[in-house]
Amino acid sequence: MTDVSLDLNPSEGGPRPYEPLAKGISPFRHSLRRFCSNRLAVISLVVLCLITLACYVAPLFFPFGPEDADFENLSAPIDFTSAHLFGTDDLGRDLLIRVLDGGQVSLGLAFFGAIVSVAISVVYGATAGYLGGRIDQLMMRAVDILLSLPYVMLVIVINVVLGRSNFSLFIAVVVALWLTPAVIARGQAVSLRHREFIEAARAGGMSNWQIIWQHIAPNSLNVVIVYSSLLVLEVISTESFLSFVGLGVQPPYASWGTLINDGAVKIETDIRLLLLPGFFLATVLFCLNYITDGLRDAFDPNER
Amino acid sequence: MWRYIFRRVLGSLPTLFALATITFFILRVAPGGPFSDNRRLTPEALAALNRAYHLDESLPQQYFRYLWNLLHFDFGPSVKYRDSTVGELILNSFPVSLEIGLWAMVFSTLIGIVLGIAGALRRNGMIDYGAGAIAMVGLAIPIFVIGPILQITFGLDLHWLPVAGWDGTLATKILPIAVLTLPNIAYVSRLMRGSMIETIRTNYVRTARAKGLGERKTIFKHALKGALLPVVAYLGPATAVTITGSIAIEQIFQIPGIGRYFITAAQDRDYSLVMGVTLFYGTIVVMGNMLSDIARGLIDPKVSYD
Repeated sequence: MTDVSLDLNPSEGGPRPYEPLAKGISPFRHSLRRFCSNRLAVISLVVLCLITLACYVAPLFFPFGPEDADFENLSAPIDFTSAHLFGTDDLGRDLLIRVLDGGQVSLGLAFFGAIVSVAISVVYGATAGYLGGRIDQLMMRAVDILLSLPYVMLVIVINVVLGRSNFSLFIAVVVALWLTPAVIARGQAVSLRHREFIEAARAGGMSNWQIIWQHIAPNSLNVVIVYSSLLVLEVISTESFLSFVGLGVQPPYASWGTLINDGAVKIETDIRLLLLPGFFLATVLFCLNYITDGLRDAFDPNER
Repeated sequence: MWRYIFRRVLGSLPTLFALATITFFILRVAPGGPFSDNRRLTPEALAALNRAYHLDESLPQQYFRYLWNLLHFDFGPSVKYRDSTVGELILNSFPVSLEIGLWAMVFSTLIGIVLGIAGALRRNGMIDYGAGAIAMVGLAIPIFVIGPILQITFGLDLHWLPVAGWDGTLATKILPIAVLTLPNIAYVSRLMRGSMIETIRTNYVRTARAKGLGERKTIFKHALKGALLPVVAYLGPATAVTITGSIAIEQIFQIPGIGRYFITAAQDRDYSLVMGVTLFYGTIVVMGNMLSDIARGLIDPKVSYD
C-alpha cells in the first residue's frame, strides 16, 4: 500500500530505478511547498490568522464587553491613547470591541460551516461515485435538482422553516453550499473507482464502506481542499449578506453583516459604524481570495 | 435549432415542477402559519381566514389546487398584501429590477471583456495589474459596503446625485446600476483574461498568425470568438441572478423592485408570495441557463444541439 503515493503522481514513479526515489516527497507535501512559495497567498494566510486571533483573543484584554455602554464617552472620537481605541457609538459602546465580537460570529460560522459542508460533500460524493450505477444516478439527480434552485432562495426558505436563529442560519448555509463540492468529489471518486489500489483493497476483503472511508474519501480530499477555501469565502459573504438584509444573525448576537447594516442606516451621523466592520469584512474577503488562488495553483492536479 | 429550444423548454419543466413541490411541502411542514402571529384574531375569524385561503383543506388537496392554479399562471392571492394577487405584485415590481439588472449586466460585460482582453494581451503590464486590482476590489468589497460609501460621497457630500429613491429619472438610476456593475466586472474580466490567454496559445490562433494576419485581426476575428465561450456560459446564469438578486441594492437605495418581496414574504410567512417569487426566480434562472447554451451554440460550431 505504500505505493499509493507513487500511483497518484506517475511522473515520479517512472522507470528510473537509480534516481533517489526514496527521497521523493509526497504529492501533498509537494503541493504544500508550492503554496508556500506563493508570497501573496502566504501573506494573506498570515493576515487572516491575525484577524481571527484578534477577534477571539483581543476582547479578553479590555475591561468592557461589546454591549457595555460607557455613558461618560458617548460618540467618542478615534483616540489611540484612550481605552476606546476606535471610539464609541452614540450609546457609548466601544466600536472596536463590537466589530471584533461580530467577527467571532462571522468567522466562527464561516469556518465551521465550511468544514461541515466539506465533510458532508466528500462522504456523499465519494459514496455516489464509488458505488456507481443506479444509486449514483439517484444521488446525483437529487443534487442536480437542489443545485437548480436559486441558492439565496434555498437559504431563505430554510431560514423561514426552521425559525430565525443562528443555528438555522448555519443549517441553511450548509444545505445550500455542500452541493457543488459534492459534485467535484463524486467526479474524483469515479476516476478512482477502477484504479488498481482500489481493486487490491476489494480483493483483500475490505467492505464497500471501508474502501469509501479509507481510500476514496481521503483521495478526493485533495481536490476538495481547494474548494473549501472558496466555501469559507462564500459562507462569509452569504452570512453577511443575509444579516445585512435582516434574515441572518439575530439580536442579541451581531455579525459583520448586521453591524454594516446598522452602520449603513447611520452613515449621516457616524461613518465609522460602516467603515470599521466593512474594512474587516473586506480584508478577510481579500485574503480568502488570494488564499483560494494560491491553493488552486498548488493543489489542482490540472495546474501541474 | 427550434427543436433544441423546444426540447430545452420541455426539459426544464420537471425542474420547475420539483421546485414547486419542494417549496410547497417545506413551507407547510414548518410550524406556524401566516396568521399565527396575530393574537387578536378570534378562533372564528381565524377559521374563516383559513377557509378563505383554503388553508383548512388537507395537504394533498391544497397541493393539487396549487398546481392546478399554476397551470393557469395563477399564483394565488397574497396573504400580507390583501388587495393584490401574487402575480400582480411580481408584475408590478419586476420591471424595475429588470431595468437595473440588465443595464448592470450590459456595462459589466462590456467593461469586463475589454479589461480582460487588455490584460491577456499585455500580461503583467500596467493595464493587467490595474484590471486585476479592480477585480479584487469588486470581489472583496461587498456591494452593501460600496453602496453606502457611494451614497455618502456622491449624495451627501457632493450633492451630485440623489442619495436614494426611485422616480424613473436617470439620476436615481446611476448609483444602483454602478454598484451592481462593479462585482460583475470583476468576474467577467477574470474569466475573459484566463480564457483569452488559453486561446492565444491554441493551434488555430498560431495558424492565423502564420498566415500573416495582422495582430488586430487575429485577436478580434479569430481568438475572441473562442475566448468568449466561458464568458457566455457565465453570463446567462449571472444575468438571472443579477436581475432578481439585487436584494441588497434595492434595500440600500429604496428601490421598489422584486427584491424586497424575497425578504418580507419570508418574514411574514406569506406562503403564496414565497412560492410565487421562488418559482418566478427559478424560471428566470432556468431561462438564463438556456439562453447561455443557445448563444454558445451560435458562437461555437462544435457545440451541437443534440
